[in-house]
Amino acid sequence: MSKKILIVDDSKAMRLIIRRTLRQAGLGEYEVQEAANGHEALLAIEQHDPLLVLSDWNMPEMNGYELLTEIKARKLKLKFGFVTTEGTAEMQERATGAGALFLIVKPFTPEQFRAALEPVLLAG
Amino acid sequence: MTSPEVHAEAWMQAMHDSVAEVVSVALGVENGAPSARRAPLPPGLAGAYLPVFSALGAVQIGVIADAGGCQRLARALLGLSEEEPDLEPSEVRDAVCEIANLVAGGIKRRVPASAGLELGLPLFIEGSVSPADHIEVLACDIELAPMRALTVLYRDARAPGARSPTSPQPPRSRRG
Repeated sequence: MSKKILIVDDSKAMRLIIRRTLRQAGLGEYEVQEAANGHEALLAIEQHDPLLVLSDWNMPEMNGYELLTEIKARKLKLKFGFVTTEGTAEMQERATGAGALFLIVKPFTPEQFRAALEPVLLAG
Repeated sequence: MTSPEVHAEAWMQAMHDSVAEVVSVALGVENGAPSARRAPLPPGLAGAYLPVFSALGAVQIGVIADAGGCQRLARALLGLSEEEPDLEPSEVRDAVCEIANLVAGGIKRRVPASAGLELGLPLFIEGSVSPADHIEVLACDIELAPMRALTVLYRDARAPGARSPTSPQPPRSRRG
């Protein structure tokens, strides 16, 4: 089983914060890769075959929703969750409707990360 | 069907609550409880501005400070200690843009869904921003002793709901 997590966010600062939060949430054993938008993420998925993609929603070039749609269109076998400021009920519904397993709203705590990610990662 | 309206008080309350959340959770700053107000802004501050689109017209949300304040904001977001060296300008710009994104997302969650807000992507601007006469400016302090930063919200005073039915009231604090 892949032990890789791909972080997709156009902010380098946020990618660093998510890396740190993964460690604080007790998920430091996973190898972490990064991408700055949906296009870069698709290349990284081909190269690294991650178990889980953690993606921002609003990004230049290809946003997180478009990335998820493309992943589903390509029938890629991976898990997907959003980490985004887009936390309205409408956006949560759009996210899960498109196949996202969870949506973590920024700003977040390590406890929120653990609660959202552990069941997904433990499910294999 | 009535057109969506968000009055100045609702914007200020949303901005106040969002900034309080970001200061506490993302920046890890205690006693940074902000106060929101209508006010002219001091000139020469740099920062990140993020457009928000809606049926009410476009709104700009910014997080601004002087150079030292931007550095401090960025360091707080990244959780850096005093011993660690200053961030590069590009790292500061990126981090302050992310803080503007966090604040804007929090505001979006706190105004009525009927407003249909859509977030754009942030830009970092160095130098003064001069709003036109019909633009109303709402501001909210961020206390990062010894520095101070501001969150600002520019909106068209002619937009639906811009005219408040009552005199503006200071936002309620959730910290007592």
